[in-house]
Amino acid sequence: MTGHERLRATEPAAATGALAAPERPGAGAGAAPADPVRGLMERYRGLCERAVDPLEIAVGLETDGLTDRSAARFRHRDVFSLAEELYARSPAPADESRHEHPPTRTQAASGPGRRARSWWQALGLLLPGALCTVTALALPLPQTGSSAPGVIAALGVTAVLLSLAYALRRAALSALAATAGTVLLCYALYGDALLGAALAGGPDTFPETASRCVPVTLAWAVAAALGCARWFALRARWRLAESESLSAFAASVRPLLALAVLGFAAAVGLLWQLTHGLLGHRPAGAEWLAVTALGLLLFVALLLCAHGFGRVAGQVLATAAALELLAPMLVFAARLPGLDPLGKPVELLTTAYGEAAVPALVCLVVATGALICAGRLLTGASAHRRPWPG
Amino acid sequence: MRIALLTEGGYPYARGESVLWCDRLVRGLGSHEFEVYALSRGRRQEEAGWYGSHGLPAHVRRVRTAPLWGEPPLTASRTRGRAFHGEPAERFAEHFSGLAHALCAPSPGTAEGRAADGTRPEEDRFADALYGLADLAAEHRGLSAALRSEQAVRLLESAAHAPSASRAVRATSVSDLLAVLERLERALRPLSLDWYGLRADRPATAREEAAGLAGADLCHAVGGGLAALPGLLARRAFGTPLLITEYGVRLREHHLESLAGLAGAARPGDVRTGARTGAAAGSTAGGTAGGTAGSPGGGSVGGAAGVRALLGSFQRRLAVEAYRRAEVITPGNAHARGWQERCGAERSRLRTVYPGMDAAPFVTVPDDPGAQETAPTLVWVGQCDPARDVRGLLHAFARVRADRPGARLLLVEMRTGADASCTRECRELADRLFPPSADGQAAVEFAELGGERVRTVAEAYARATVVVRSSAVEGFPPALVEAMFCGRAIVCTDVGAAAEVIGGTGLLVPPGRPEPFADACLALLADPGRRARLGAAARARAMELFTVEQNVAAFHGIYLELISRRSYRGPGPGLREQPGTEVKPFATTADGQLAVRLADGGQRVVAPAAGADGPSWAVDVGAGVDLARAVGAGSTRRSEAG
Repeated sequence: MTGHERLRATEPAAATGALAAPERPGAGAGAAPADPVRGLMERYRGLCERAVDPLEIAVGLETDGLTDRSAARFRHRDVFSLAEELYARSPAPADESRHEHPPTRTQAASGPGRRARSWWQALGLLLPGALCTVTALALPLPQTGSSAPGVIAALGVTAVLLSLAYALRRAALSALAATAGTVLLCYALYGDALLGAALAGGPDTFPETASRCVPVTLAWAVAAALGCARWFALRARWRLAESESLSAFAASVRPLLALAVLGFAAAVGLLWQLTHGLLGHRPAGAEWLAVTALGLLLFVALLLCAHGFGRVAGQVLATAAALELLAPMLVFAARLPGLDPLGKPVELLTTAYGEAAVPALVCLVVATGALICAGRLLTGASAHRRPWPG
Repeated sequence: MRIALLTEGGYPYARGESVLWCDRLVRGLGSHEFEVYALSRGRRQEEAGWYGSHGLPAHVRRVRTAPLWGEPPLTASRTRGRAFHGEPAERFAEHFSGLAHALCAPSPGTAEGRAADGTRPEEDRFADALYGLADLAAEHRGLSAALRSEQAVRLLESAAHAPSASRAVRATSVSDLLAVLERLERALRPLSLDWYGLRADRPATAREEAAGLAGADLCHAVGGGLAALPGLLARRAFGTPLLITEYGVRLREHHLESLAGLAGAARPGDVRTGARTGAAAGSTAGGTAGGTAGSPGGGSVGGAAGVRALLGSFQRRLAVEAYRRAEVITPGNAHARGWQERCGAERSRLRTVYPGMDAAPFVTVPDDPGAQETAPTLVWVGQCDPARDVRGLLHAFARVRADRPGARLLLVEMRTGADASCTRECRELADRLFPPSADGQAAVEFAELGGERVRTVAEAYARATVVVRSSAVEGFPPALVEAMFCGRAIVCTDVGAAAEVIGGTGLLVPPGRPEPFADACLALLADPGRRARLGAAARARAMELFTVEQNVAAFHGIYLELISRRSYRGPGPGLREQPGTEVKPFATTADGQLAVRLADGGQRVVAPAAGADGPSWAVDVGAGVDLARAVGAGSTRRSEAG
C-alpha cells in the first residue's frame, strides 16, 4: 500500500532488514484497515518479540526505511511512538528466547585441528611425570663411584622443571605462590631427613633425599591436578550458563568442587601405590599421608590461582611453608639452655608417627583451611568469568 | 582558549568515527589550543595508528588516550581481586546498587515505565550513582577491581531480581550478569582515569591543574555516549562547559550493534548496512568510518535479552544525563535532533550544525551547457547495495526511456568492499530491460569510480543532465551535497535527511515508486530553464549550508558563546548554576585564566586577580597597562605566591 511496502514487494528478501518477519505482501494492505499497526506487527513479529526496549524496535524500523513521515500513516507522530505501540502490543518474550545460544557441551571436540591440539595438551600434562620417572629409573643404573649419577640427576631435574613450567604456563601463578610452592617441594625432598638429623643432634652432613617415590608421585600428580582443575572449570562454566541465581549457582558448584578435590586425592593415593610398585619400595603410612596432603594443598592453590585468586593462594602456601620450616627451627631452638620445652611437641610427634608426620599434619591443616576458603571463593560467579575478547 | 576534545573510538585514531570532521575542526580553529582525550575501542584501532601522515597540528598541545578494551589497566590489575574494604566498600555498595537499580528500571517509553512513575526520577538516581562512583574512583585510584568483584555481581543480581525491575531484566541468568559487569567495567573506565588533574584528597597544584581537564576552558565531546562521560565529570568538578556534537547518535548506534548481534550469523550484513547508512552523517564527516570493534557498554551482545536490556539502559541513561547537562548540543541533522529530543535534550540547547564538506573539487565543474537535449544523461553515484535501490532506479529509467528514447543512465559505483552480488543483479536487470539497440549505444552505462572512464565524482557529475538518487534508506546523504555543489538539478527519493539537505532546490519523490520518479525526471529533462534555476539554487544552498567553512565557523561561534557564559569560581561541587539566575555574558572572561606559555615549554595558569569582579583588562585599562604587561604581572604574582 505505502510506497515503502510496494518497494518491499519488488525487492528480494535480502533487501529488507534482517529482523523482519518473512514477507507477506498483503500484510498491511487494503483500503484503510481499522488497525493499520496490525499489519506492521505481523511484518516485524520477530523484531517485536525479541526487543527489550521500544528504542530497539524504533531502530529496526528506521533501518528498514520507515520515517516519521511514514509513521504518520500509522496514526503516529513519529517512529518512536509507533515503536512504543508495537512494543506494548507484542507479547512478552518467551522464556526460551533467553537461552538462544545454549552452551554447547561438545564444543571442545569439534574439528580435527582442535582434537590434535588437545592431544598435544594432554601430552604436555604428562611430560613432568614421564621425565621424572625416567630420571628415577635411570639413577641406580650406573656403577657407583662414577660421575654419571650427578649428570643424570642434573639433566633430569632441569628437564622436569622445564616441563613443569610448560604445564603450568596458563595457571597464572603469583610470585609468592611459586616461591612458597618451591619451598614446600624442597621440604618434601629433604625435610624429613633434616628433621631426623636435627632430632638426633645433627645434622653432620647434607641431608639425604627422600625416597624416589615422592618426586615421581608428585610429578604425575601435576597431570592429575591440571586435569581435575580443567574438569572443574568446564563443568562450573556450564553451570554458570544454566543458573538462574547466584545461590543456585553456588549450590551447584559446591558438589563439583568436592568431587574435584576427592578425585584428585584418590588419584594421588593411587599414584603413590603405583609408584611404589614400579620402583619396588614398601609404602609407608605417614609418608603416604604427607604426600597426599601436600598434593591436595598444591591442588587447591592451583585452583585458586587459575580462578584469579593468586594472592590468596600465595598466602596459603606461604603459611604452610612457614609452619613446616618452623618444626626444625623449634628443634634447633630447643638446644639453647632454658628453651628445652620448645622441641617437645615435634619430638613427641616424630617418635609416635615418624618424621613425615610433621609435613602431613601441617599440610592437612592448611589444606583444610584453604579448602574452606576455596569453597567460599570458587562458588562465586566472578571466579568463573571468561575474558571478553575485543 | 583551551578546548578539550573528547572522543570515543575516533580522532586522533585514523580508523574511527568522525575523524575527518575532527581533523578539519582542529585545523580550522588554529587560534585555539586543543587537548585531545581519546577513548579507543579496540586493538585494531590502536594498531592502525593516528590520523594524518604529518602528525597532528601544532596547536594540539596534548593527546591523552585510554583503552576501553582488554584487561583493566596496570594500576588496577596489580590490585586484582582486592576490592574495597570497610567504609569504601559500603560507599561502593550504595552507589553501585543505585546504578544497578537505575539500569534495571523499566524504560520510560513502556507501560511498566509509566506505571513506575511518581517515584523518584531514575535519571537523578543514575546521575547520583554515577557521580558517587566517580568520587570513589578518584579517591581510591580506580574501580576496576570492585566492578569485577563478587560484591558487584551480588548487587547487580539483587537489583535485577527486584520487583521493580523491568520484565526483560528479571529473568537474567548469572552468566548474563557477568557479561554485563564485564562491559560495565569497561564503560566506566573513564571514571578511573587520571585525566582530571584534580584529586579529591588534596588540592591540585598549578601544574596538575594545567595538565588535565581542570585546566580546560571547554569540553567538546564528539558523541553523547562514553565520550561525554569525562566531560560530565569535568563539568561537575570544575564547571567546565560541555558541548556535545553528534553526527550519528551514539545511543542509536548502540542499538544497531545489538540488533546486529541479535540477527547473529543468519544475515549479519543487512543490519550492518543499515548501521552504515544510519551513521552516514558520521561517515560524511568522518571519511574513514567503520572497522572498529564493538564498543564497550555496547558491542555485539548476542541474543541474551537481559544483557541487551541492561546495556541499552546504561547507554540511554548516560545519553539522557549527557543531554541534560550539556550546555549546547549540536546534532548534525534533523534525524539526530529527533533522537536527542527523544532522550530529553532541551530544544533551547539544540543547534543543528550540518556537517561540512569540501566544496573545492566540485565548484570547478562547469554548469550544464544544455546542449544534450537529444541525449540527456541521468547520473547516479553511490554504493551498490539493496538500501540504495538501484533496481527501482532501473525500472524508473525504463519509463523515462519509453518517453525519451535518447536518454542514458550512468551508474557510477563506489567500491567499498561490499559484495558484488548487487552489482551483478543490477547488470542482469539492465540487460533484460534495455536490450542492445541497433546503434550500439548502451542505454545504461556501468562505471566504477576511480576507473578509466570516471576518475572522480566531480567528473561523473560534470556529465550529468540530471542527478538521480533512489535510496530506500538513507542517513545524511553526502553524495547529494556533492551534486548540489556541482549545480545540478536533482531528483531524489524522500528518505532520511534528503528533504532537509535539498530544501526546495530539487525534486523529491516518494521512495520505492518508479512512476513518480520517472515523471519527475521527464519533467526536468523537458525544461532546461528549470534545470538551470534548480541547479543554481542547489549550488547556492550547498555553499551556504554545507561547506567546511560554515561548519568550522559555527563551532567557533558556539565556543565563544559558551566561554562568554562561563564563570571561574574555582572547583567545587556547588558549581551547577541555579535555575533562574541570570548569566551575564563575559562576566568572567577566558583571559581571567590565561594559559601562558613559558620559555621551557611548560604551562602555567595565571590566577585571576584577587577581588577583581570584572575582566582583568577592564580594571587595568585605566592604569594604562597593556595586556602583555598584565599577563606578565600575573605570572610574577603567581610565582611570588608559589
